[in-house]
Amino acid sequence: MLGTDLKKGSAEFLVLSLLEHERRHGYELNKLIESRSKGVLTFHIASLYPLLYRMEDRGWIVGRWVEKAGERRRRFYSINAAGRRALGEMRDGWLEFAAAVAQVTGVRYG
Amino acid sequence: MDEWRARLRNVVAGWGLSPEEQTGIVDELEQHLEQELADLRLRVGDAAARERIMKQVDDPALRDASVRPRHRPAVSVLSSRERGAGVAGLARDVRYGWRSLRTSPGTTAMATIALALGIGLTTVMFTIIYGVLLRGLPFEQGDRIAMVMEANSSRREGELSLSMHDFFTYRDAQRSFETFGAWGPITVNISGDERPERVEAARLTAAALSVTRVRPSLGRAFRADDEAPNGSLVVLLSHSLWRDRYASDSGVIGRAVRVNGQAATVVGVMPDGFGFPHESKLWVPFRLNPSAVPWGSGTHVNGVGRLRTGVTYAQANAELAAIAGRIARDHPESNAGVRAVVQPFIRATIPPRVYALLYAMFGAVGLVFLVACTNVANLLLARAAHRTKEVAIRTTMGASRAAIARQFLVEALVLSTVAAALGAAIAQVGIAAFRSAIAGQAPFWADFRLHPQVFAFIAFAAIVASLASGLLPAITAARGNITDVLKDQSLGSSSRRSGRLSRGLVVFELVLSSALLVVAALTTKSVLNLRSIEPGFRTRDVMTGRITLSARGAENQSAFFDRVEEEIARLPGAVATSLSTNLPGSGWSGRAVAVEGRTYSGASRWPGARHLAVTPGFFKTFDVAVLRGRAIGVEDRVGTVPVAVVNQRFVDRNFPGADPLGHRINLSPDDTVAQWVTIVGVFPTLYATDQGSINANNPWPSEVLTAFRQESSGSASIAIRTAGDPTSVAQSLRAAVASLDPDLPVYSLAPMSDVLAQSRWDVRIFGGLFVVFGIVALALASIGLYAVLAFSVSRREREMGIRMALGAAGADIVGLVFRGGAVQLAIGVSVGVFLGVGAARLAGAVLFQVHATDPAIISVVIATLAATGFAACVAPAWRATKSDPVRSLRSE
Repeated sequence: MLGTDLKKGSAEFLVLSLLEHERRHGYELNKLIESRSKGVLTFHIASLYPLLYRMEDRGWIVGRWVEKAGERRRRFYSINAAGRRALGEMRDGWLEFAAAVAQVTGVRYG
Repeated sequence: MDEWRARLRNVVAGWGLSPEEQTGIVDELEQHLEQELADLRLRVGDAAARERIMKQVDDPALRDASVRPRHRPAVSVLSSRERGAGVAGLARDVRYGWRSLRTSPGTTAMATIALALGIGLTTVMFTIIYGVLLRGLPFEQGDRIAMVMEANSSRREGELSLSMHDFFTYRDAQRSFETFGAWGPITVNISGDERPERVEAARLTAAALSVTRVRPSLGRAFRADDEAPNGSLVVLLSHSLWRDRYASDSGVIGRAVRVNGQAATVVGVMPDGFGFPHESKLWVPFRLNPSAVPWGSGTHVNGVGRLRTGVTYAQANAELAAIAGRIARDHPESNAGVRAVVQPFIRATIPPRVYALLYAMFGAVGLVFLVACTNVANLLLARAAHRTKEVAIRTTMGASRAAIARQFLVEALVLSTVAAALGAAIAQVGIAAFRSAIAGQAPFWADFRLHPQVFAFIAFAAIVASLASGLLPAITAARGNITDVLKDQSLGSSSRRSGRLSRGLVVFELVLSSALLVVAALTTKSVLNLRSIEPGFRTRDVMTGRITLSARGAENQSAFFDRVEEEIARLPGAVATSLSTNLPGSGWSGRAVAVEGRTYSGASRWPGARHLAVTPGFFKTFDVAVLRGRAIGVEDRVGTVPVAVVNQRFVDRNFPGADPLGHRINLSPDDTVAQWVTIVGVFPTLYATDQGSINANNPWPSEVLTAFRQESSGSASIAIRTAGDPTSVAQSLRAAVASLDPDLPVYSLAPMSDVLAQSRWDVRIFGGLFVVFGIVALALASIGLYAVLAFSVSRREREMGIRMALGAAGADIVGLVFRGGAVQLAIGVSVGVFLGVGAARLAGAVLFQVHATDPAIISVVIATLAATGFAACVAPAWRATKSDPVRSLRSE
């Protein structure tokens, strides 16, 4: 499992990436993060939802209740224009950072 | 509920969010955890999964999470529209409310009719009170017109008229009134040009007339010189007298008429509707000559004045009190303990008893209104419970509690508005009925119409109704626990709560309506008692009328009455005729009597009796038998021994076990000159009402009949028993009297049955109104009881189904439903009957020969409500037994 600080800094990045092409609900987001990181990254509700609400406040994502016939309503989150801009900046920053780290440490991505 | 859910709610509740945000977040987190729990269960088993979930919930990080209240503008498309406030929002709510009410037309119609009845009846009572008490005199600043009377506290006498001397002293000393005059009631015979007529009139000083600021529509008003004792007499005519008697002839001014046999000249005609001060149709100047009589004696008058601008009633009272004090010092023999009382004219004119009665009835009708509101509240509550799902969805779609509550209130308002329109129509009909029932009895200023103020009252009532009936359902609906309702369809806590609430409302409703029913039943019995009363004398086929002789000598009077009786005895169709000082029934005059040879310890110990002086024909005309001795005979004339015939009740009270015949009684023991009469016969007790009193204390009193020809009377009531329709002799009666004296009018022409009914018109009208209130209250309470029982059964259908599946018989289910209703009935009815009896004691004014705790009445009320409750239970209970156990279980 990753250190808390690192996770915190990257959490928003992760969420925005996962919402980039598809709207998802909270549990789904958590599951995806967990499975794609092969269990390295997991969130508890205590961190995930306050994070989502914060991002919503900041105007990066939009939460919306969706009701389908015969199903319970669920709250789906989708990315909006501001979120996409933020995601772009984070990606650039991350790449820059990763490149820098690689140069210093000699670690390379496989 | 799982423990973790409860804790989760607790944690989120600590975040300080708005209720709706909280609900949304709890919902979202719950879903997340539920799903996680399901996933974990497959991997680690139930217990461990729960432990992990609990750990997440108990994570201090969650408790401390800083979630700022969010402003989610785009939570959903619907919610942003729903949030709309202001006019557009209201209009949408009204539209939505209308649509939603239309989806349950039965409920809506029932609630509307209930409320319409409530509003309609309340409006009728308000119109009556407004028309007679609140609207005021139809004069410029009518509320500034005051009556000035006196009270003697040492003799416990209130509202006395003023002696002339007091009046002039007040008039000359006071500064509170800009005009101050005197008036006195009088009834006059008007004749001299057309057929003679007897009309209610008033003697007015010129100032008393100008107090009203009303000018004659024709001619002139009174002038100060009209009051000179020896001047020529002038009269003012009312519009109606001018119209009916003089065919609205504008040349009437200057015409010579005779007023009580005295020559007079018409100087003016007052405008239409002017009847000041007492339904007067004619006015003569008040001629007062205080120097002719000692202080305090002579004619007494009523003071009337118009308060100066800026002077209050309190100030006027204080000023006149000071003057009264000075008079009492100067003339203690007549004025010791006498105070002045300045009151608004209407307040002083309407008897306090009537005031109390009117407001008591307003209170009663207010209860009916409350029953109606309760009913509507109940129906809306039932709807709210059925709509918990709809409300939950709206809430989760972002509608705030306020919006939900508003929606319910708006629905109540829509309903009340329709009901108010309907209520106005009901009131219109009610007022028309009341007007025709009270025709001729109302004071001249009374105007019973749907005035703009009445419409304002209706609007107010509608708003009160919508708040009273909508608030509880609105709050209940808004508080409804959304997640519970959405999670499963089983009975949520909200419907249990609304069930308790609506059961409470029904008990409340039962209390009100059983109280009203008690009063209504008592007054119904009073009215029936009055209808079915056997007065002991003939009322069918008896025509009556009255004549009052203008001043002439006693001998002339007696001779004239002899001739009158001769004339009327010859009328075609007359079977029997009589003259009497007044008519039996309402005409008895009360007096004290003393039996010869007995000593009485004081004036208050003299036995009372009702008295009439009659001619011999009385007994045949009114079919009154003589039980012992003889009747009044033709031989009983002036100069022979004065005789009396007493009734059985008189004998029972004054001669128990003894023979009254031959004994003498004094008919005026309080006078220095005794009026001894010898008892010559006994007749059965006849019915007697208190004239002018709503409350007949004892309709079967001691009675004494004396010989009309042995007394002197200026007036006589004529009674003619006819072979056929009594009214057929009216014309010939008039002609017969006119042939003897063309100036003498026969007035109060009416069949005896009408005279008797007339004497109790107040009980009939107000009693009748109470009956209507009671019936409406019963109907409303029945609807309410039925609706609530039906509702509670429908909510328990599954439970019933399970019970039946477990072997309960239909009878058990019916019993179950019944027990629920029976408890409410028992509580509501017992409290209500108790209150009703208390109220009936207060409303004792309209009770006639019924005791407030009449056991028969109370049993009838209880039986009626029990039967209604029973009926209200039958349908729901029966439906309950039909619930299909399998379907019930499946839906669980």
